[in-house]
Amino acid sequence: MNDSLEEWFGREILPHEPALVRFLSRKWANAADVQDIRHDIYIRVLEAAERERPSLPKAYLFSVARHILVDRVRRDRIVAIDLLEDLDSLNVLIDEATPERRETARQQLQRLSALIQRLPARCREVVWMRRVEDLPQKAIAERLGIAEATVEKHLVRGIRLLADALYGTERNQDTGSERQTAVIEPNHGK
Amino acid sequence: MESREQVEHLAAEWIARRDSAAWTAADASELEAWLTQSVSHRVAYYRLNAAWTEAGRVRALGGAKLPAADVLDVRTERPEITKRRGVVRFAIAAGVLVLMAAGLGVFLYQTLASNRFTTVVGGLQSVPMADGSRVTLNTDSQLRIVLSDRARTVDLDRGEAFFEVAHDPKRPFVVQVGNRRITALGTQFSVRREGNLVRVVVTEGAVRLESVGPALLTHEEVAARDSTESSRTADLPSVKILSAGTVARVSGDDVFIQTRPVADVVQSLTWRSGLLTFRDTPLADAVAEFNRYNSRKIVIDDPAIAALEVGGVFRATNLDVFVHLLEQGFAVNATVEADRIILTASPHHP
Repeated sequence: MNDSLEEWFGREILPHEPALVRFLSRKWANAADVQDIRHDIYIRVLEAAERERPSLPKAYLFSVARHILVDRVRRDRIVAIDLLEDLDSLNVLIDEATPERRETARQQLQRLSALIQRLPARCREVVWMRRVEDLPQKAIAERLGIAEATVEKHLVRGIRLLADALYGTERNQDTGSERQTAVIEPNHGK
Repeated sequence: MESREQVEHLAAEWIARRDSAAWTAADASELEAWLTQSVSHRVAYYRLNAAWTEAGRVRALGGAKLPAADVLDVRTERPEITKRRGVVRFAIAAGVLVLMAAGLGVFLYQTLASNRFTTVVGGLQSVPMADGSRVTLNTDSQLRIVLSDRARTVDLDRGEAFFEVAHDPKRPFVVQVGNRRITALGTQFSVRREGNLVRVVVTEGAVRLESVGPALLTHEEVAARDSTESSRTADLPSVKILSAGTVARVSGDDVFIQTRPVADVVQSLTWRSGLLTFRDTPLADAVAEFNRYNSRKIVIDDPAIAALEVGGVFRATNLDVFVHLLEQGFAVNATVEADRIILTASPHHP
């Protein structure tokens, strides 16, 4: 049961992370909070899905995001002035941020290679040897002349950096221009 | 309660251990127990495991071959930003070559790659570096990056930049601002240069701040110094370690250091998302901030309102919203002209 829920999560929720993080970054001024908020949203989505899987996962994900942001607004002292107004225009933002990718195998390879390439030097070597060359940790340690525990430390770091690059932070950084144009400013008439 | 950071770290450890040769059935049931413990654990594990599986597809897709470099530069460009793309492509291509070389068991490190990045007034640019670090340039800024196999050097010629430094003990990461040198000790920090003033804000880890050579001086100060033959202390290098939460202001030989909660310090760097955050900020300071990002300047034409305290989060390039809210919230009158907005005290307002 856990396995299939994991598959569901990977298939229905994670592909929307770039759009979700982009959305959160637009709504939340303090960039340091965004990943924590994202994690809280996932917890609530998974809790619900363990009871019953939502029929429209993407819409459900963003409605949870909206609720969690509103909770935070009430809790925190500093509030983005355009936050509350913007939350109502959420549906527009969801449609616009469809992340579906149709890539050829070659494009996929290039994208994934580029992600690994951006890792810090030693981490990159370890991840490449482990994941692409499929070398055991022990062989990597011998080849690089470092302890096996150090290899594992690089792997731990690499796994996390890859997830951020693949789903969230990196892509968010790449779409600055889109962020500028999509923001809806407060109503001047009032 | 465990933080997200901790949980994600633990989840990544499980995945790394799971793939090692020493993995046993007992470990597997221990992992199962950890996953059952909380939804937070499951979320972190599912997410990282999916990414790890995805990365493994490089092998399935035949990843031993060198992909074309031009397709790797996937960043979308903002039109107002000028940059030397060719050099960046070279840096990325060089990085890929390194990766491929690593695959063959040959460890060539990146050769020399230098490039210059510039933003215009109101611009914002995030630059991933080939070593895994990232530099974010604020409005009206210029810097040069030189990567070699022994050092990573950034010269900040003007403006402000935020640095997220990838750890690499063999290649120190150094930011040079005039005669000041800031060396990252595994860290995130920002450096701002304004005339002969330098401001350093550290949000993670620590940096070493030192002066090299004579201090940055204005022409007047140089003239004064020459005529009086005054103190030579400026020639001595001074070294300070600045830790997270520190804001250091450097003016000539003087360094003013202030320590604040990290969360507050991070809030002063919301420009990275194009936003300005104020909290009990005097209007004069807030206006000075806005004027860095816009060619249409705000002018305060009345000392009575300069000290008004304002708060909130604003888009740096949207003067109209800020001015509009000022008029609504305070006894302030705005006169909008083509190239400037003049603020005066409003006689009618309560």
